[in-house]
Amino acid sequence: MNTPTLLNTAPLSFSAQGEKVQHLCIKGDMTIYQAAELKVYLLQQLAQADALDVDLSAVSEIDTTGLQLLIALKGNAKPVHFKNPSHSVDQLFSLLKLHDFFAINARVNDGSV
Amino acid sequence: MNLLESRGLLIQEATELLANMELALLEIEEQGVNAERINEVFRAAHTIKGSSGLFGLDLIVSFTHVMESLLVRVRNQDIEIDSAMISLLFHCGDYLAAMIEGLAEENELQDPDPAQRHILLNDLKRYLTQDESTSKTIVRNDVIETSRAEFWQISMRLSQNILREGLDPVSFIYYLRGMGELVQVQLQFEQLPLLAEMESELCYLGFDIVLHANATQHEIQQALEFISDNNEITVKLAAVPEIVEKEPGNNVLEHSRENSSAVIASRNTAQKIKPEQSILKVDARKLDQLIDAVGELVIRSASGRHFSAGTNSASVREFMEEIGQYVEQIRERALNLRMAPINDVFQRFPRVVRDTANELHKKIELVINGADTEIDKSMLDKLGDPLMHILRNAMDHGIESVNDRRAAGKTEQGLIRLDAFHESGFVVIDIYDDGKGLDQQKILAKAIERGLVEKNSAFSEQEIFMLIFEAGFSTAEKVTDLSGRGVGMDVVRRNIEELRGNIEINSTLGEGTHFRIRLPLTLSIIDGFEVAVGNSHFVIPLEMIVECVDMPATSGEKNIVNLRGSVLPYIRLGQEFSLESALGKECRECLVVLQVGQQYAGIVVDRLIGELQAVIKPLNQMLRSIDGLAGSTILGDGSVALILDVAALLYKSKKMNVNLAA
Repeated sequence: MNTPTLLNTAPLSFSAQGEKVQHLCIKGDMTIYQAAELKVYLLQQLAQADALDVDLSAVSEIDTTGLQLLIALKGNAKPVHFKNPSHSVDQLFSLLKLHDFFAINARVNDGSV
Repeated sequence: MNLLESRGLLIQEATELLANMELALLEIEEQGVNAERINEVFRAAHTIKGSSGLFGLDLIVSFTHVMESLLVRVRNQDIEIDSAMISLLFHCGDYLAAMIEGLAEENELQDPDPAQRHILLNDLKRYLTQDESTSKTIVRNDVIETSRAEFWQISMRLSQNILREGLDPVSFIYYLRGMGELVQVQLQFEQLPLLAEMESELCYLGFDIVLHANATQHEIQQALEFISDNNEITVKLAAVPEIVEKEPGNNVLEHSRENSSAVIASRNTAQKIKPEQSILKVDARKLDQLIDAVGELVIRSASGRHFSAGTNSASVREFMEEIGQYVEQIRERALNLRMAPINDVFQRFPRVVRDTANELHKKIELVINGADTEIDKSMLDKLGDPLMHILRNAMDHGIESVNDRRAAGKTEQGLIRLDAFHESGFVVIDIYDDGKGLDQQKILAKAIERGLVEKNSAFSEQEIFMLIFEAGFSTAEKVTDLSGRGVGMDVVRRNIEELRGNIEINSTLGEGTHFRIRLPLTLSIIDGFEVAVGNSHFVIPLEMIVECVDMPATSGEKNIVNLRGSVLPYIRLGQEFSLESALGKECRECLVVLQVGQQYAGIVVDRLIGELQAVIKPLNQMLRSIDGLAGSTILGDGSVALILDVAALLYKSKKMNVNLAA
């Protein structure tokens, strides 16, 4: 079991509209074991910025709770942009046909784990 | 129909079904799975099981039953077919064929190979049990095409505590996808609160799914059994989503659709049966008897014409002429009855090539053209062995290993082409391979070493290639299981010559080899041309004759004549058979110009008599040992004429020339 860590991959940047954009990368599992902790982190990040840019490339496992967090994150008042789904995220999005919902492209080369 | 006859039918039917099954398996292996091919395999197992059951052949029934169970699962896409399973099914087919063959020979069915049966059944059952545990979790993305598949609307409204109970709804959706195709997935998240207010371990999501799968409502409900407590799960037939073009269905509609598809299915079988009904299965012996009788009729008709020619009555002559025409029609149609597509022989080759290529670790593609070319059935049976031998030779010695081919700058996959077509009264079978070709030097050296030819004699390319057909000749450095024992190629030539055919080779070193076999369309009756030397009459197959000319007077001693500027070797028929010419000095002999394959040659005779239909009768024991005779026939006046085997005659005389030259 991997504890999730949120990494600020880049310092705050500013969008063309002058929004403060926080870049973060979720690392490790996004399952029921980390869900509570992850929620707190995400809320913190959200509070500090006008928008979030979330890199999903390091998510090793995701379940329904992780998915709920992502959906809730997207549904909050501030814009959140998701990118680079990891294999397991991509699998889940394919299953539930959520790529469009998250405005994210399916991985082209899906051979990796 | 008595029991014995219907057993014969069972054997024939099973043999055909097994051949079809083999073909379908090969296609699956090469071109991938489709429902029709799977069905073909299934149908073979199913039908054989059914008809064997009628005869109480329990050994077959119990075996095919297991095959059938597996194939049903494959057809329903519960189990995916893989190369191991294809190989297994091939072996099952072989085993069944062995059983059917045994059935043909004896009255009681015996297990031809109990050990093999045990292994096969175990392998089959392994697939079946494996399926129970794992295959349902196989993630499948391909679209199901089976007509029985239904669209199911599955609605999952989950209790908030489901996640805390350790159940993850997503994993059930993965499971459902294993049963078919998820046509639609809709996430219901109206219940989802804001992130800040969310209890992260509660489930707020619901799912609406349309599953297209070949499964019953019960099966789907069972799949979701674990989450059915405290959760609202409904499974019902879906209104078919727009993306798939099918009429919407509720329960009632579904029912009628079922019915209509059943109607379509029965109509299909009706269409299939129809052409079968128009085919009459006749005992081959009866056909032979008919052909024999027609042969006699042809002879008598010729006699009749012979006698009528001697009468003064024009009406009798006219009448006999008319009868003659009808007799000719009868002959042609009777012979046509015996014609069968050469595919009957060709169809077993794809499997042979596949197996041999695997055995030799080579990549070989077999291309067959003209499989519908027709040839006398009785020749077909004798054609299988020589063709198989040439094919094996091509695979074994012709086509190089993958590495050698790459080194030679060729494609890794070798090609063998099998072409059949009709050409002026002959059936021509071409066997090409793009392998390493024949090495003339090597062949010649070997032939000299084996004492087959004298050193320093001159040979044409053709003559050198033909040496590989000599008895006791083999150029292979290594004896393999398949060929290379030095028996075979001479047998091939003998087999072909027994069918009154001939064989030619062309080869380019490094590029490939081309065998060409020419066979007469039929064995029993030929169009012939009658000639005479002294008082002896001979018949030459008409198709071989190019022209007849007067023998030029200026011919020298070397058995070569100048025919309009080109050199034509010839033989004197009289000399070949030690006959006295009845011609006086002043009379010109006649030269019959013949074409055998690509070679031209002449035969010198005393007199030309004319065309006739010759019914070939076998030679008696004494004459059979003489080279150059194919058979005998009875002429219109009741006398006997010998039918010349032109190819053998020329071959023999050429060999003598070679010996003379040395």
